[in-house]
Amino acid sequence: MPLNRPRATTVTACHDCDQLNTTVQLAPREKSICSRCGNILDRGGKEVLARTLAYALASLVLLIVANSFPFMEFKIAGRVQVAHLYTGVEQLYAEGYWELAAMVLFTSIAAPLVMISGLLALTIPISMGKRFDWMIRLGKIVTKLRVWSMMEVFLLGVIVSVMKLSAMAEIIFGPGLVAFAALILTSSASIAAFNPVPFWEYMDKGRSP
Amino acid sequence: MTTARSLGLARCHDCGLASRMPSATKGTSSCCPRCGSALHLRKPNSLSRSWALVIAAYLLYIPANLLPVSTIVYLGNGEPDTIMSGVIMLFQTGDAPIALLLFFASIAVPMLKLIILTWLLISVHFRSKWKPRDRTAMYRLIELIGRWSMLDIFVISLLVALVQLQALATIHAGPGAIAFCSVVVLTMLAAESFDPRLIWDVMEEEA
Ligand SMILES: [Zn+2]
Repeated sequence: MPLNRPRATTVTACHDCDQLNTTVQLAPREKSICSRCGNILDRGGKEVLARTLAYALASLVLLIVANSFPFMEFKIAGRVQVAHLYTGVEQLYAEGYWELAAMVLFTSIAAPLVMISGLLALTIPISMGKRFDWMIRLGKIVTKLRVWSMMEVFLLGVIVSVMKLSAMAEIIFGPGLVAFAALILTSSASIAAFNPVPFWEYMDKGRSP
Repeated sequence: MTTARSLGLARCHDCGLASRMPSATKGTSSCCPRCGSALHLRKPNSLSRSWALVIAAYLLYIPANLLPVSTIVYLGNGEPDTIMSGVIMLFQTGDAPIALLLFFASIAVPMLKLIILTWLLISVHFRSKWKPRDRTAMYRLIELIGRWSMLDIFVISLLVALVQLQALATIHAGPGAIAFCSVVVLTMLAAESFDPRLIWDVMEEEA
């Protein structure tokens, strides 16, 4: 894998305190830490391109499943209300809260979708040893979206909602929710296997001297 | 100990490459040779941008806590809930762990973020040399926990989606939720605008 090539000693500036640190090639599970402020500069080993690719592909499938099947069902006095992953967005928009609808859509569906497809679009050409100019822009987008992709917070929201409603009615979990929970595992495995440090080094090799 | 700035090197905001800043040619902007992003020794206008976002967040914090975030209409009777009353109600109905969780995500974390950001901004303004390592760790902490405050917004979105049984029971969002969501987003942006290297810059001047 091109991203797993041995790395020589490099000098990097710390993001948090600006100290220049010398980092060497790291063994799996090794971390290099800034001696001045304690910031984690790089993590070693685990980045395997095939893993990023496989988990991103699985995540994309799970994201489609999570949006296609019922997410939760709410049963009260013989009546059943079925909700999909995006029903909250539709309902908030219908009630005139478009700002909330937009934020929920962005953080729980759009940002994860762009991040996962971005990882796929980056790892496929890298695994073939290719470089394109658009990969630089996409690499920046993927790293910026990490904080705005909030699927795990959303899942915690599911747990809180169930606890809030359990006294009032019966809640049934749908296949969409199961897929969503699995999606959190696969997408975090995919992003964890993608280390931006060797990615940028790889893109750098395409630069003409 | 050598910093990148002391050697005239700027770390790229996007790809992390340290490259030389042409210091003599003031006014001309330089770009990262690796990824093409604009190079700066420090994030431009970091302090004023963070202050503006933090002050906006403080202002919106008031309606976020005073206005109802959701209204439950059960058998024709509507009851608006603010963030605080929702948490208190959960404590009273016996769901203590969930109430505690919501208390942390919706009340403690946003308040902690605002207090820490204000403290960091003031300490940088007065060129404090007090424990820079600890202050940097605080900065990392608020970057890490900030997003979990969206919890209440997701809960509202889920409740609104699930409980739509016209005459029997419905749940509507309230205007407080917009204010609360804005506080979360503004504090996340404020943390992003803040440059933690400013904490360390004064340490260098002494040496
Ligand atoms: Zn550092």
